[in-house]
Amino acid sequence: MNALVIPILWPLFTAILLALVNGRYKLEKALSVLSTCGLAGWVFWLLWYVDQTDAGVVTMIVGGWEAPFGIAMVADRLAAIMLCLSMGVGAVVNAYTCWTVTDKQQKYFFYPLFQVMLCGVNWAFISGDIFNLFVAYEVMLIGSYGMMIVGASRSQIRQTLNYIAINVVGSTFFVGGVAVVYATTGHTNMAAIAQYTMTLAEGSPQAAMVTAGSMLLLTVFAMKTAAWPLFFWLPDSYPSVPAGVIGFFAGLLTKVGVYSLLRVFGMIFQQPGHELALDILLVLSGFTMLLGVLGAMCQWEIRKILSWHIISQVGYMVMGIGLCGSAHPAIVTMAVVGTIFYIVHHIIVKSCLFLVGGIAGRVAGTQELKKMGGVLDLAPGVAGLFLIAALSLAGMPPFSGFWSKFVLIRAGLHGEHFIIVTVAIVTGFFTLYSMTKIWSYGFWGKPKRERAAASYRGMMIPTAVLVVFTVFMGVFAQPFYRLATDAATIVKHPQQYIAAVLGEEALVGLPADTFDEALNETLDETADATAEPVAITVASTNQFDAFKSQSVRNAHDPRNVQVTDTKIAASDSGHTPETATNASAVPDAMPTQITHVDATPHAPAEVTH
Amino acid sequence: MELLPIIVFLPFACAAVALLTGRYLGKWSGLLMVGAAAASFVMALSLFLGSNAGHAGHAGDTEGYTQGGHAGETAVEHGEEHAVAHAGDHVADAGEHVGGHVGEHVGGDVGGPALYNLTWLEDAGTNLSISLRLQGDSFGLFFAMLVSGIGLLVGTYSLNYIDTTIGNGRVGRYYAALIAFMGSMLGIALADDLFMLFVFWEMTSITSFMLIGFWYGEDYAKKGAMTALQVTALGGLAMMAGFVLVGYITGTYQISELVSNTELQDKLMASPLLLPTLLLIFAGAFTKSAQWPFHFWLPGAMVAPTPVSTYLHAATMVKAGVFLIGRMLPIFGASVYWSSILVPIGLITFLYAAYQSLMEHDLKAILARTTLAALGMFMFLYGLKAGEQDALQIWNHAMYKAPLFLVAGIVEHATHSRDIRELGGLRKKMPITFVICCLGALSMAGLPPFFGFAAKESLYGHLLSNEVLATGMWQNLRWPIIGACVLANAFIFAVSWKLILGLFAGKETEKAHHAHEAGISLWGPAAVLGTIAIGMGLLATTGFTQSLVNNLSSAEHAHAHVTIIPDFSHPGPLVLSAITIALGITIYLSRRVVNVFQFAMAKVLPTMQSIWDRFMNTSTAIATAYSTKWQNGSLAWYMAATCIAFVVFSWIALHQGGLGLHSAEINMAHTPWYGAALCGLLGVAAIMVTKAETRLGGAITLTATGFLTSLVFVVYRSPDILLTQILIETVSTIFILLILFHMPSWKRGGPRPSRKLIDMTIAGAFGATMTLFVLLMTTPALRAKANLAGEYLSRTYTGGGGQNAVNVIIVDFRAIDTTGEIVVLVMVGLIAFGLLRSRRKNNGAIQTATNTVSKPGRHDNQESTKP
Repeated sequence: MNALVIPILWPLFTAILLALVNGRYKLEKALSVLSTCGLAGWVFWLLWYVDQTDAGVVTMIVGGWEAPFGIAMVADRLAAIMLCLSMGVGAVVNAYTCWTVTDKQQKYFFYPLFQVMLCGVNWAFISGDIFNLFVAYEVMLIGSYGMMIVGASRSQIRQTLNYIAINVVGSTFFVGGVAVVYATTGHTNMAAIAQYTMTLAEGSPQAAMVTAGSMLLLTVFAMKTAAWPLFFWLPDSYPSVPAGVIGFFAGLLTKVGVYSLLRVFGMIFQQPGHELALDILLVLSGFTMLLGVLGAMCQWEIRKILSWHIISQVGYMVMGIGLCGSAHPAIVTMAVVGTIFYIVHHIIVKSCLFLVGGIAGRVAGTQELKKMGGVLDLAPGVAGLFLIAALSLAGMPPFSGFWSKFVLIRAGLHGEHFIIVTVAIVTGFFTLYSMTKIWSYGFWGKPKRERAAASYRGMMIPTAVLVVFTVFMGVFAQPFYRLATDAATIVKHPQQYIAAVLGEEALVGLPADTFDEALNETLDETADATAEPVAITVASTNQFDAFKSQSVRNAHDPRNVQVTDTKIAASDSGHTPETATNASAVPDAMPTQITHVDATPHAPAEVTH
Repeated sequence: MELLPIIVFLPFACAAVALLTGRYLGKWSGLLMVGAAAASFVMALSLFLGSNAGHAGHAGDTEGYTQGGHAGETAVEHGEEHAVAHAGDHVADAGEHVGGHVGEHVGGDVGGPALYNLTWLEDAGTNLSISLRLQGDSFGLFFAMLVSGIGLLVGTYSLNYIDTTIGNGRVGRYYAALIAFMGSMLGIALADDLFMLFVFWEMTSITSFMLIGFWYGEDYAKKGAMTALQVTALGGLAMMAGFVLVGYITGTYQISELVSNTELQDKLMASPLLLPTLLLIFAGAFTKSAQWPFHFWLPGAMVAPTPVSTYLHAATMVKAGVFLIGRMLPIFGASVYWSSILVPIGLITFLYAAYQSLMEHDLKAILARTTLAALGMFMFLYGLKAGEQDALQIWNHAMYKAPLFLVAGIVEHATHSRDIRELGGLRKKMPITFVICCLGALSMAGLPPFFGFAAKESLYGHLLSNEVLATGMWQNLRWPIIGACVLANAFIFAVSWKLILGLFAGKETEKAHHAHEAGISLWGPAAVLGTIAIGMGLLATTGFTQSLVNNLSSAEHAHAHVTIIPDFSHPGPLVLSAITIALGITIYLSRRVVNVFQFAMAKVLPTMQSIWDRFMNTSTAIATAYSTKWQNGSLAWYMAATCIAFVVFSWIALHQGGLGLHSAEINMAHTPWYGAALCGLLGVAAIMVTKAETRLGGAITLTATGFLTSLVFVVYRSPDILLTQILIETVSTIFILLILFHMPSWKRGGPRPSRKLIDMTIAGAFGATMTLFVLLMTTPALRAKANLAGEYLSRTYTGGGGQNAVNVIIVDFRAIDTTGEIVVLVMVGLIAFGLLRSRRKNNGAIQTATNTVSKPGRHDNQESTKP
């Protein structure tokens, strides 16, 4: 699908166009908003399109070369979700900035820089090549540097310096990491790396080298996600990001890092022993959550509080990624679904909170909590928006934050990671504490002025879009959960991704995809254990129904058919690459295997009865 | 028609209306509350009557059979409908399963409670199923009727109590919160899914936060609201973890299934996670129901308007925790931990709060303490597995405590004071209030013929015959426990008289002088409740009360003995009552002596509130210390930490993989002499960077290393990349110099030697790690056997049509990378242009666009701060 370059080129061309009309401020605003909304519409269509394809992966090789040789652009469900988030929040933020941007900022290419940042973020999401991902990061970062610098004061520039310096060091790590990965795997294409690392034998020096080399990438992505101990750049720089775009910074930039962590350590590195990186992430996540929220506790400025909260929230997502290292397939499923759900929730809510914080600041004339007060009386609508977003962030039901935390905590408890779950719960408590602090100092209290300090009503419209979304996602969680479950294939079935990018033949010689069988087996154990003699009649019918409905769904769902060839190969050939190779060396074997499709889900049922 | 979801969701709809139209409706949005409460009450009552008849039908009565069967059928039909409506749909594949199951379940037990089921979140892959499952069993319906009935009265009371001069919008918000609170409580009462219950549970926390903070202009109101929310939310989060553990152990979150399936209970009992699960769930219940040591938020929450205190903190919300324990009793009751946790905690709360209630002078504080005592008693009773007592005791408490709170509100309204020392002699000015207060307080004291007396007799009777107290380790503690109950009740007896006599007897005080009787909308609701308090007592003579509370209780075959007619053949309860009254009179008469003792003790012992405050303050102090020390603005520290992190990660990975210098093959055979020389020069330049005295010097030496690095490409014979690299180096040098222009000058003197050593160590470790990586990467045994280089070379001419592989890669194979880099370069140019232009135009101080003038100083010098 050649249209996959659209999310990259569209903002880029918009940036050029906007740079050309520089000076006509209103036109520039209008064009920028129109372009962003248009692309937002397109990526939502893309998500729908990707979701209804068989494999759930749409690819394009730039320049018409074949993968892994050319650069692949890949939109699987996760990437498409991320694109929707980046463009959705991008459109909201773009509309919001129409009220906050100054002529001076616009004069120095505010909107072109914004579009370039959008371009970089989109690029990072659909890139299927790790060096290309680096380029995407650079494009994104240059946009963000620019937005922080244009029209800034000296002291702001000084703060920006920390941001730039740390990120430049991060980029250096990144290039180094890509070099190590290329040297050790021979590829930069993500699917090809995954394909290669899957074939590495347990305990081989190559596998150990790939793991060691991946630590460079771990460092850089941990830095970009603002995980402990690498989050320094964030609390220093975010409070001086221009109003409005801070919503985009807060929502998307760190999440590009989270996405990369999930993509790289969940999918690309499959060598034996790759769980080490996930274990390290799990440890980091605990510190990230707790130290992030502690940092927020002692702040008295809305933006600073929220900036620190980004860190603690990132901790939850990293925790989810860390839990993917579990040997138990059900826990891996929960963890990755929880992470994806959390990312979606967090991007929406965090952007929203910064935007509402900005509006509240306009109403009260300041964002310093000690000088604020009475926003509830001055602007009840703003207070309502904040309240919902804040409660959602703190994980209160029935908003999206509740499900995100619930799924992750469930994954942690089922995996019996009690320490990390305790940390997550304590963090949730302190998060609520800071939110009530903002509420009671900023929104409650006696108003310090007669009326709002600046006009704000129009800005509420884009912000309300995000609030509605978090409510919607909480109340109607099922479709989102379903999408997250399907998007979780990137971790559960990297084979699907490899097949989609490199072709089916790339799966030859790979260990087979046994994830679903393993998951069904565990389900079976629990079902078995509940169905004890006394309730045998009721329970066994239920169990049968469950399998029936599952097999029906499998038959109806072409996605599952996709996988089965490898899956069957596994059950037939005992998991070793050699035998799998032998099996597929005979082309005639394929059709006969397809006939097993229906049989697989039944298999455990037959065993139990 | 499905009544259950309407009972729960009608209030939320009304709340939304109140919120949106409050500014126009003003105080009349209170009618929404009244209407919603009345509707919910009627529906709950009709369901109760229906299922009660069904219950009877199950026992063999044909008349009730049809009705009960009907209820069952409706549920079956609904289950099927649900499944059919969504057939083929992804959500409903699961729905079919659950729906079928419901039909089965209900169909198998004709005449069971009404059910409603709607799948909310389903995932077959991880065995997750959370549904909006409502169940109208009699205990749940009892609680729902309590909530909606008192909601009706409190709504009526609020109409004239809440002062509309504070603004219509605010009144509308008040009612919206109150109605939403009622909806959440109804949800708790009827939920049949642990997570549904949790959702409503947290919603009561939030709405109560809003209601407690009604006077949000005042700091004390904010503090009370925040403490209440913090404590209950912490408990709520713990409870959520507990529920997840229940699901982990048993595989279901459905309450009715957990209750009915003994297999699941056995699994829970056998699980090593039983104790944590129980403790987590108890944490939720104890914080919500303000059990010691989490009790302190409740007196603090008395800053709320009186109707709110009545509704939330006397009649309903604080009982949610008790209700939860009641729901858990059939599930966890077999556990050895059950009694050994609940009994002591409940008893401590009971006794301690009753004792403290005598110390208070504020009317609402007195009532809050006695409420705490009652909550402790409920917990204690559940600890003794006395499920049959629950409906009786909870109902009794609501019927006397709610009118007393309302009376406190009336008195405050009339006299503008709540301090019992400033009040007195109100009996003449406020005769109706006096009578109502007597009804409530005498019932609280447990005097015949009030409901309170019947409840207390029943309690004593139960304690004397309780099975838990008759077995095991409790045997020895039996009499001390009964004694403690008697003592606590005696304190409450004394407090009841203190209330009546302190407010209405004696001389008229100055504050009381201007008092006047309140209107009927204020005393009416209180009178209704007071009437029930005495009416239920009088009806206890007929056996009506007994059969009603036994039907309402959570125990399946409750047979609590409720009467006010003394049974002289079993004089135990009567004797205990007599002792209670005698002891109570003694305490009342010697209250001044008791108070002196109490205040002396209070000075010595720390209160839980102060401990909590200290905990929060300490956390904040730690947070402040850490965030200023860790996030100190020093770039040098940031870089050091980054490097340390990388080195640590790498060495963990290298160690685990058994890699090290020994695994690397070092081969110098193909190294040209100029390559080695270049490396030497690079080393020298790198050392020079550290020797630089000024920022400019540092920048220039750094640039030198950059250009020397570019020259490395000479060794690899790729002049194109060399040129690109030089270009990049040039641009970045310009960029660095631009930024340097805005930096303060470098501090003289340089760092201390110890600091230098640390820096050198970190840099050395980092350099060593990187070097090791390079050596390992170039070792053939550790590399991939094939890579892309060959592919690129083979296609340069055939595919790319060029002779120069590097060029073809840049402009063709990886053209999009190049595009990105071009974009970066152009953007650097644009930014630099903007920066230079804006600098030249406005020298020095600039009005910023973003009104964020951050304070300089903290981020001044890299060197001034230490890691």
